[in-house]
Amino acid sequence: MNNLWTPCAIDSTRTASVWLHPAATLAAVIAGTAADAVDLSPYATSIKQSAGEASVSLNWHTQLDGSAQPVPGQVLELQLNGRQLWVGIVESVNDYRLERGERSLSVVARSRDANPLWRDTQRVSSIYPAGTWISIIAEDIATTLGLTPDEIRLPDLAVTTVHSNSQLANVTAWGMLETLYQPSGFEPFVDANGRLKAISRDTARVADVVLTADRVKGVKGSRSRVPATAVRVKWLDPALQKVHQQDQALGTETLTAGFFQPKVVQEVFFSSDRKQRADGTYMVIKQSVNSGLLPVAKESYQQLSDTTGKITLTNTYFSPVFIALALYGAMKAGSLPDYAPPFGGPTIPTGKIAQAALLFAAMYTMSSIGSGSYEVRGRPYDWVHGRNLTEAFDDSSPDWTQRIIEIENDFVMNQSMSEAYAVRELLYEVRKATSYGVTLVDDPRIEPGDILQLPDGSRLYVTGYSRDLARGAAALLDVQGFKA
Amino acid sequence: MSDILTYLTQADIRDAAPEVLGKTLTRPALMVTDGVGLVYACDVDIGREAPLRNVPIAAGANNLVYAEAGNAVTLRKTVSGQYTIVGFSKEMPGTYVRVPVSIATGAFGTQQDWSLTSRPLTLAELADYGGGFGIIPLGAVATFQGGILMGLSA
Repeated sequence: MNNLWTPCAIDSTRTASVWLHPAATLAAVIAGTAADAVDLSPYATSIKQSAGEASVSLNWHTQLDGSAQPVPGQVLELQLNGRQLWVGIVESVNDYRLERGERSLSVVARSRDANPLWRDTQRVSSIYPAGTWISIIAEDIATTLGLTPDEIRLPDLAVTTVHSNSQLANVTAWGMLETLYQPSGFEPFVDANGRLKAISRDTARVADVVLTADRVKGVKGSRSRVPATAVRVKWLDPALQKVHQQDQALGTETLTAGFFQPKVVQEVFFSSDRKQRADGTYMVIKQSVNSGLLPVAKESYQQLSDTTGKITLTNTYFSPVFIALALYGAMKAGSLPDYAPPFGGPTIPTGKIAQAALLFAAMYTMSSIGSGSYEVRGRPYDWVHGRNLTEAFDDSSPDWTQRIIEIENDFVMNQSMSEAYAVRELLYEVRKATSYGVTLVDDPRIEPGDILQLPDGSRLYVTGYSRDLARGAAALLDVQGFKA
Repeated sequence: MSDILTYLTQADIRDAAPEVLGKTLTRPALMVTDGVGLVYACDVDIGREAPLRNVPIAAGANNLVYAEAGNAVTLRKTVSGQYTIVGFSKEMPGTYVRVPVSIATGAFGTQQDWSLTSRPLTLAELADYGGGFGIIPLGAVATFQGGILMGLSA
């Protein structure tokens, strides 16, 4: 509701004027600083204005010839009783007629959001981290559309992004604003003065305008269609869930261990791309290095990280010093003299015996070599998002009237917000099915999104309005909406 | 009228989606035949009222045979309109909460939890749900809806 206005008095006279701004920007006109205004009021034979559109019929002789004629793209301003009522952009100039001495045409202007820049062009927003205020993202979008800070009247909501990174991709600017604000119960709206604001979709709130009986001139018709029976909101849960697969083989290795190395260490990745995470990993010995004649090494396994493990074979008999000493000793043992017993008997070849023993020890050690095959098993896991579903349904609707509306929006912060969103949208969609119009004494405060309370207590949610501002027209406002 | 056409179009587009995300409710098992041989299949929750039963695993997706109950998977429609599981995914159906609303008053009632979850039973649950140890094998998978046991599979 635009609280800068006051309701028109009953049976009052309104003075409407039409101003064309051939060169001024929309921002300058909205701010009231434009200096190029051309008064078309004397030539206006019909002026009709609604929330998003204005149409003016002009009749002139020569005054609007040439550059004074409205051209698409120029700014059109309507004033009521000397105050700016509505600002828009000329979209088309139609029905140009030239009769003897008199020319006429009709100009249709629309609000600034009714053009491809807002409604058709697919865009990609910046990327925003968790904790970014929704209003910051909305202001960035509005700034990209060319709005100045004075033209942005979006509400500051206590809603932030909850995912680590959020980006709106391949969506129109208007779609981005809707996506941002609808979970909080608002929708974007460009008011009559060309300012971007948000209107509430909550049909259960207190009425904005309470009408007395003398201000309501008539209620016109009603039409009904099949209402929605349920609204489902799908939203991405910001909390990740850990999900495991079954225990399975993650990697195999074939290793050789022996005297030549004190330790064989092999790092094992749990997948070929080295990105698979797993826990509870363990080693299964398919064929041990110790399965030969001699024990070779001690086998062990250890998980190093989420993606890797380590197989270690520790040589049992490795000793380079031992082998070197044994061979050196064998060499030296060859110099040992034989021992001839003093009482007779065979000569004891002590050098050979010592040499053989040392060579045996060295060769025994050098023989301890073997190959083993090992398999690492475990439970791969991953962190995944849950896409939650919250459904608000009409508990009194029969099954055969079921009509479900699905909404997908990742700017829902938590379960309670999703429930409020679903309930609010269900009430909106159900009540929207029954629409009707009311004619009342003109009240420039009223705009779409307002709730009017009629004298009988019923409430009307405004979806649109129109008024006739032609000279001598009654000061009435036709409001379209639905029962709230 | 235009709103009805919009919703019908959206429903048509949604229903024609070639890929959907799902959550396995059972371990893959050899239970479905293509007319020649048995293929691995499992039950999958795709976030609707009822889960899909016996969804086959696509040929070549051998790693899916090791999927556990509760894993996030991607399903794709074949040309014949049948869904098959083609791989693991990073997203899966989560909670499903229903809220009854009185349109006349705008009041809403107690939330109903319809979330489908599936997981292997713990040792304590094996005794509780099976009527004692030894009846249900270790590693049996239970499916819960809103915390209420709906079924067991071994």
